[in-house]
Amino acid sequence: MLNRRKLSKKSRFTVISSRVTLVFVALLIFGILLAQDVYAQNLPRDETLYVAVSKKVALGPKVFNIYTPGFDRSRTGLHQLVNEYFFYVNLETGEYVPWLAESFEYSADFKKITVNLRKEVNWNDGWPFTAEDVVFTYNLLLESAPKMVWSAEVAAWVESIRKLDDFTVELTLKKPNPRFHLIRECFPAVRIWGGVTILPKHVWEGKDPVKFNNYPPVGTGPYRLLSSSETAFVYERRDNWWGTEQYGVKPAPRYVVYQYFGPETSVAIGLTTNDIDSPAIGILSLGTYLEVKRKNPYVTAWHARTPHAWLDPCPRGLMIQNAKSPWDQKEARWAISYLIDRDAVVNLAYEGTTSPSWGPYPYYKGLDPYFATIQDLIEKYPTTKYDPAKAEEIFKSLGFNKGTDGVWVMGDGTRLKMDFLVDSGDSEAMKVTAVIADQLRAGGVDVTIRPLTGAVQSDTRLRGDWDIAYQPFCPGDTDVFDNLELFHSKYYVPLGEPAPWYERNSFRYKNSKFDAIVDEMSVTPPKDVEKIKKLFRQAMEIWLEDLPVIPIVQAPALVPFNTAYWVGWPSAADPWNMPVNWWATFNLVVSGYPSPETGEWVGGIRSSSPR
Amino acid sequence: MKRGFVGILMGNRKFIIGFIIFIVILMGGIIAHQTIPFRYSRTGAFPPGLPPGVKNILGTDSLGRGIDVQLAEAVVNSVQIGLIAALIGTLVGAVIGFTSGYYGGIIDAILRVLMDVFLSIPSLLFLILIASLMRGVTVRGMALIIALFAWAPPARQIRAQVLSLKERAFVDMAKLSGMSEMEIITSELVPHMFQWMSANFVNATLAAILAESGLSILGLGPQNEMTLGMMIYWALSYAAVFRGMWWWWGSTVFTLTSIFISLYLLHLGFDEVINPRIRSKI
Repeated sequence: MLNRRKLSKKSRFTVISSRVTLVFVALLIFGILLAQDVYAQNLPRDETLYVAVSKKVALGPKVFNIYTPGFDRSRTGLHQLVNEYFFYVNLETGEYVPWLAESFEYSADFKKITVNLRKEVNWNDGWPFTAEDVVFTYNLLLESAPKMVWSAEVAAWVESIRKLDDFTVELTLKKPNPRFHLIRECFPAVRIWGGVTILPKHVWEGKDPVKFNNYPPVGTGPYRLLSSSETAFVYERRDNWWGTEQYGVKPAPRYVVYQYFGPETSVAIGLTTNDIDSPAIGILSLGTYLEVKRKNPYVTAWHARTPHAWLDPCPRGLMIQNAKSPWDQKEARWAISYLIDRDAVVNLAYEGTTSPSWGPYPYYKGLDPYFATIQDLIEKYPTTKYDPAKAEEIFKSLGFNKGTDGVWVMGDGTRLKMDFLVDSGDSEAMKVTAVIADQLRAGGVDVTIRPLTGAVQSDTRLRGDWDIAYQPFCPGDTDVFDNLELFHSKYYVPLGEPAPWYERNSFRYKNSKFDAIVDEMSVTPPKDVEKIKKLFRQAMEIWLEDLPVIPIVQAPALVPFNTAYWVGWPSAADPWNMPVNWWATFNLVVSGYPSPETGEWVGGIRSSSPR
Repeated sequence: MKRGFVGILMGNRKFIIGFIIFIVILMGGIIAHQTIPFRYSRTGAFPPGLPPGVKNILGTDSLGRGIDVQLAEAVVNSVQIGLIAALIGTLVGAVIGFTSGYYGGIIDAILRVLMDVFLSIPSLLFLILIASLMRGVTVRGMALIIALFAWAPPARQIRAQVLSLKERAFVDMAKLSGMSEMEIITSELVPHMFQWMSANFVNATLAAILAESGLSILGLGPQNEMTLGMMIYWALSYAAVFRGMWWWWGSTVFTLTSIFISLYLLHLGFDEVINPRIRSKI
């Protein structure tokens, strides 16, 4: 009796559990079908551009508030496709391309800037884009500073804004600045990566700007959001985009998808099978890229051959702590420079994807006229030269003697030690640090590599608690001013206190003559090229002699492209734009743009098999 | 019982095989480390990415360093980390375990909480935190960091054993014959636990080498010296597997696996000696 009851209980359980299983399986199949529908949407492959991003976005698929701290404006594709900016700077050609604005003008004292907006622009919900939107956006940022992204920077520079007419605004600055139109944190112009984004007043008015999700996002760009999930953001081309109406130009891809495909191997496979058209920076290493290229001849990059990579605007330098002895002596800094074999750094750490750099500037064409003025200085101060004998000479002249273990020793018996700070999460810096440390050790310096990570690393770097550290020097592009200003002593803080930023003088360089030149440059409009050239030469003469930072290499950005479905990508052979899908300028890569000089339409990617 | 502990161990096949593998790897590492010039381990000493050949028996990595000389240094350093961490962990664990188990009361309550805390927190997270806070991790520093978490498991086990041992007749006998508490612990209890502690030591060595690899793969290993974990870190950061540089990751993984197997065999051998019921029939 007992047994039977047990059995029947058991069999009943089996029946129930199998039913439950059945329901689960049905749900699972339904879920998979549903998910596939959401993800793929059956987008026609030859009309869709797939961009692979390096990780999922932190705030999820329903947040599109570009001013929310932590919002990912690149990996969502938002600032490339939906938002547009007044001007875009083409670093390759040096052009300042008017977009939502037609022109701007400074007052004579550089305290006011007047912007003339384009008249025929519409938001993607049909409303016209006017001066009201611009005034609303600046006032919103001023009122909510510092809670919204970049609102503190806007509040630091902008006194007020007013509308002159429906398509003209006037910004009043707190102090004169002839470069206000180049500050991305304050002005809707894109130089590197992004800029201030103008918001539609009719959507944002009355909303809490910090909590508002802005879903679906309203922008003026050529695409609108079709769907979004944890891993993919799908955009569809607008037929009534102002650019189409104005110029008769349609961006070629009907759909653009910003998608997380997985780690390096998944992206490598996606590129090989033509499921991905353009992965973001930092996903594929050179070795993996070469392997993919070998398997799929459609895959290419900026250079079809070595060095493959495009030049990122932040050249790499070795920061040396100017506030510590003996590195407070320029001779000692030069000795370290002579101990570094930059060709070996390029070949070993970068596998040949870049080249040695003489200074803190990227080798962009727009800067060539400035570089031309200092060719003789670069020869006089050979910053890329590897010359251990010369270093030895300098160390001896500074009173060092080589100890029995080959390490330099001061008269008082102290060994020449260097604490080499490195971010352990930065694989590029780890490789370079390993190579440079070995070169310095071979030259008689007792180097200790100190890998740190996260906030500890960042804090240590800012407080200057190191002797040397590898660092990108940003922004550096068509204007020589910014990368000189990094070395201004107004950013100098004593050792132990946090510097304003890593390359903003955490190496604690101080030279009043240099400061004076930079100060003069800061009030010289960038249009006054001849005067800027003169000042640039004066500043670089001091910089090269002092060598506050040791230049190492140009920065490589390995961004592969797949030409199976889309062609016309910018490349070294045809450098009409920057090959970066995470900058707002990608809008111009997809659509092309009217040349500011001739008005002729330049570039834009095309279908490899036009219908 | 005439053969003694060591005698039985020497008769255990698993122990002997494990011991031989371990000694071969370690001695190979030490000898190679002493004979191959140090400069071959410097970046740029050779052309990068060479497969094994006449000049470089095990090839070179993407930074132009010889794999053979790196491997030799790595074996010595990794084993050193394992041994130091295991020794400290076992000794500290023993002291705390004996104290806690034998004295009981408030001391036991405090130590027990401490042990539970150290046993339940995810040690890798803390190791990452500590490693990232230290200024320049060295091989010894790495061993100390790992030892910080290696004492809790043996302490817990020893405490449990001592709780049972101290109720036995021979302990009462020792008390009656006037032995002090310290004497009882050292001359009556420790010998009972010695075999178990040896087995734990081997196991802790294995765990410490594994922990070092884990930390190093995250880039938090000793940057100024080579370890097996650092070798894997470098191989991964140059995508050696995808690029088919088998000599790089292959030799490292093979060595690491061999060390694990040898230590595991040693551990099994110890287990069988301590616990005759699982001793193999042959």
